Amino acid sequence: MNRTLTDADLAVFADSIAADMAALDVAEPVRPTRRLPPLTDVPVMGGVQAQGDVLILPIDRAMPHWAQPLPHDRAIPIVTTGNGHALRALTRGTGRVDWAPIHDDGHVIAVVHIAGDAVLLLEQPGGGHTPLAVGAGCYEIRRQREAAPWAPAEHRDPWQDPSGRTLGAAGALFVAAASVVVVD
Amino acid sequence: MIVHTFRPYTRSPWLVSLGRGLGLHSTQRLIRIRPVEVPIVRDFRADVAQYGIGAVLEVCELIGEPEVDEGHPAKLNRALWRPPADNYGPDLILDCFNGTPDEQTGLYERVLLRVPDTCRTPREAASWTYGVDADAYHLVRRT
Repeated sequence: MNRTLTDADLAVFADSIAADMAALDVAEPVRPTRRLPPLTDVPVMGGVQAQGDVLILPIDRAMPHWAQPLPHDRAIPIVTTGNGHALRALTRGTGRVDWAPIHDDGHVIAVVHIAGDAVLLLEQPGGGHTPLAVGAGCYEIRRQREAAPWAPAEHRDPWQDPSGRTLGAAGALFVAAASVVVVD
Repeated sequence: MIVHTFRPYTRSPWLVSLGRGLGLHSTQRLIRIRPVEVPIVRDFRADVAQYGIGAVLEVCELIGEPEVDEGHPAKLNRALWRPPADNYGPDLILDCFNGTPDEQTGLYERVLLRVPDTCRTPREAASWTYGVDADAYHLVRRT
């Protein structure tokens, strides 16, 4: 009988597997690979920080008119390829994180403004890189790019007709007739 | 690399075609064998996957001295390499390390990035990849 597993079923299955693995008595304990490190280890900084191919650059600029507060109960994905990158706002009291996506720049993908006691967390949902914590200020979030792959110039034959055309039969007849007329 | 190819000369300037038709030009050149310079274009990513980073960088020329990536948690070095232009083109290769060690091996993954040949130092190359001026690129933390 076919049965479709729901997310709840998968969660129960994952919990049971984790419990089984925890009960194993092995020399080297098996750790879940997608576990994020505890956030208490993440220092809150205000300078230039990089998480893999994403850079956080402090800037002095006004927020775009389409800026809006970042929700504090969920992470907002800003890069969805690979392991991805996501923004999460940690707010307290009057703290607030505003953000605006940018689409017309080759490097800048978002602008954020962090005010008060708020902290912006840049995390990787797929795991891989340690989270970054960003303090108050205005920042550009930039994506890393590479130079375009090199393609050598096409080899040109000096004897080749650059127009790509050849003298057709009609053209040959016309030139021959014209030369006869000139000779006459 | 010189490769001797069999090249049929089927397309010529129209005056030459006319001359051949009228018997003024020789038809000897229509088919001939001559050496042709064929550059072998290589993709360094494919070469890294096949031969490893060390084999690829062995044929490259180190530009300047490696410098410390100041934002890296282990303060590892980064370097700039010039690959052979005939095979890899004029672009340079930035040689740097991932900021978070691999969970399985505990090692920092070595990363090669293609940067333009206008970059003069590894720091300039690293800042170019993010579109940032080198003077503003002072990393305090990399993960």
